[in-house]
Amino acid sequence: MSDFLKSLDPRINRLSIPAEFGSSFPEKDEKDQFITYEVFVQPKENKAMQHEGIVHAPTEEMAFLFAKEQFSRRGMSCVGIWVIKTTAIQVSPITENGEDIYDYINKEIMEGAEENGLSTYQVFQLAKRGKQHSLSGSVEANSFEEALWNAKNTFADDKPALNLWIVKEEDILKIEGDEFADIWNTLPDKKYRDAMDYKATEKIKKFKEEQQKA
Amino acid sequence: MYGGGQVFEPSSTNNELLKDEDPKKLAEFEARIARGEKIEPKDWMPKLYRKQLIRMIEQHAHSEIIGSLPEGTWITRAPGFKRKLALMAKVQDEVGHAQLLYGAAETLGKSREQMIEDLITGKSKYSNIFNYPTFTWADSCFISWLVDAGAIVNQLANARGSYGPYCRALDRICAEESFHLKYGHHCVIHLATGTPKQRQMMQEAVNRWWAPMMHFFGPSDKISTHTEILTKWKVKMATNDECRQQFLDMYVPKIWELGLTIPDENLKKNEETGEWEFTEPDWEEFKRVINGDGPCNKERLAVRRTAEERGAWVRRALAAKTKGDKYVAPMA
Ligand SMILES: [Fe+2]
Ligand SMILES: [Fe+2]
Ligand SMILES: [Fe+2]
Repeated sequence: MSDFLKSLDPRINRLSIPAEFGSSFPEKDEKDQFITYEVFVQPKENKAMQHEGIVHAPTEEMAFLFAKEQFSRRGMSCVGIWVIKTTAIQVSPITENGEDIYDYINKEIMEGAEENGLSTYQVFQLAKRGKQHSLSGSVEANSFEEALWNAKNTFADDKPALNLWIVKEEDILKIEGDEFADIWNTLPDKKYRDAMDYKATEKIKKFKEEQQKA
Repeated sequence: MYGGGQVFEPSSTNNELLKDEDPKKLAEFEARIARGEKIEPKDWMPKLYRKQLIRMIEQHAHSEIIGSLPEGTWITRAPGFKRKLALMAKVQDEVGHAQLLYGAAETLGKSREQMIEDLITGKSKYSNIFNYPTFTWADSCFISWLVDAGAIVNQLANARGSYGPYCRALDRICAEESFHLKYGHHCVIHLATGTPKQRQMMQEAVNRWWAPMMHFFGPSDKISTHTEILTKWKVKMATNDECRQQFLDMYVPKIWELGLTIPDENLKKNEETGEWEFTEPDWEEFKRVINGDGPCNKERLAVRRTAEERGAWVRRALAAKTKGDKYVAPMA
C-alpha cells in the first residue's frame, strides 16, 4: 500500500501528494488573495485604449506581467497596456441605453468636493451596455468632481456615453511607447497559437481517395 | 472548456428566492432582457439571477482549470516540438479562460478565493468529463478536438446570454477555442490517417471517451430540473438535448470520414425527424461520477489542493507588499 497518490502522470507522482487527506480546507488566518487590477489594452496605434478585464496581483508591476500574458499573448500587435488598481477608479452611475450620462452632470457636483491640487485625470466612456469602456482622453482638474465637469465640457459633444470611469494619472501604470515596443515584437512569430496554422483539408481528401481505391 | 448539465437549484428553492422581489424592479429587469440589452454588474438584479449566474460561471471556471489537467499531463510527452508548443499554448489558454471566468463571477460578489475553496472542498462542481484519465496521447487529442468542440457548442450559446461580463469573457474565449478545435482536429487526423498502430490508438481513445462525451451535455431535458425562468432571463440559452444534437450533427460525420467508428450501434440520424438517435447514456454512472466516485475525482482535487497549499507561502510573502489594500469586487 502506498502512502502517496498514484497517478498516470509522472509529474504528479513526483509531487508526493498524500493519498488521503481530510475534507476540510487548510485553515487560514485571513484571506490571502491578491487585490484586483483593471487592465486596458491598446491593440493598434490608431485604436483607443480599451478595458479588457482584470488580474489579481500583489503589486502593479506583477499586475502588468499577468496582464501581458492574459490579454496580449496572441494577435498580430499590441502597442500598450495600462493597469489600474480597481479601487483607484471612480465610477459614475450607469444610465439607460439612449441616455447620456453627461446630461446628468452639472456644475453643482463640484460643491464641497475634496480638492487636492491640479492633476491630470484620464476619462473612459462606455458607449453601450455589453461593450467595454474605452479611453476618451484626459482633463486637468483639482478633484474628481471637477474632472467630471471638465469631461462634460470636453467630450459631451461626442457620441452619448452611458457611464464614465475617471482615474488620476498617477494611479496608472503605463507600459507603452518606444521604450517598451520590443515587448510585443515577437507576436507575429507565434503562428502556432493561431487556428490558421492547422490546415488539414488536403490530408483528409487524400485519405478518402485512398480509402475508395482500397 | 466545460460541459452543459450544470446543476441548477430545484424549483422549490427558486420560488422561495423569487417571492419577495420588488415586482416593479423585476418587471424592468425582465423588460431589459426582453429588449436584448445586457445586464451590467451595478444594475439591479433578482437574487435568484445572481445566485444561478454565480453558480454557472463558477462551474464553468472550475471546468477550465480542472480540464487543463488531463491535457497538461501530455505536454512533457507530446510527440515533437511543434505539438509541445501547441499543447502548451492550448493549456495556457484554458487556464486563462478560468481566470476570465472567475473575474466575471467576481463582479457578482463572490470572491475568487471563495470559489477555489468551494472547488477544493467539493462544494461546487466542474465538468464531469475531466474525471476520466488520459492513458495515451490519443486521449489528449480526443479532448483537444471533440471535448473542446462540445464546449464550443455550449459557449457559443451562452455568449448570447444576458449578463455583460460573462458574454464578454465568452467572446474572448470562443475566439481562442477556434485554435483549440483546429489543433485538435489536426492531431486526430494525423493519427487516424497514419500507421495501423496509430489508427488503433486513436480508435481506442474514441471508444473510451464516447460515453463521457455523451454525458458531457448533461441529462436529457425530459429528466432534468425545469429551468423556464432561467431561459426567460437568458441564463440558460440552449437545452442539454439541443446542445447534444448540435454536437452530433456537426461532428459524427467528421469522425466517420476519418474511418473511425463510434461505439454505439444505435447511433444514426433519423432522416425524417432530422434528429440523431442513440443508446440512452448511463445516467446512473454520470451521477455516481459527479458525486465523487469517478476514476480521477480524487486526483484532480488533490492536485488543485496541493497547488493551493504549497503556494500559500508565496502569496503570504507577496501580500506583505499590499498591506492596507482591501480586496473589492472587480468592475466589469
Ligand atoms: Fe476553454
Ligand atoms: Fe477546453
Ligand atoms: Fe479549449
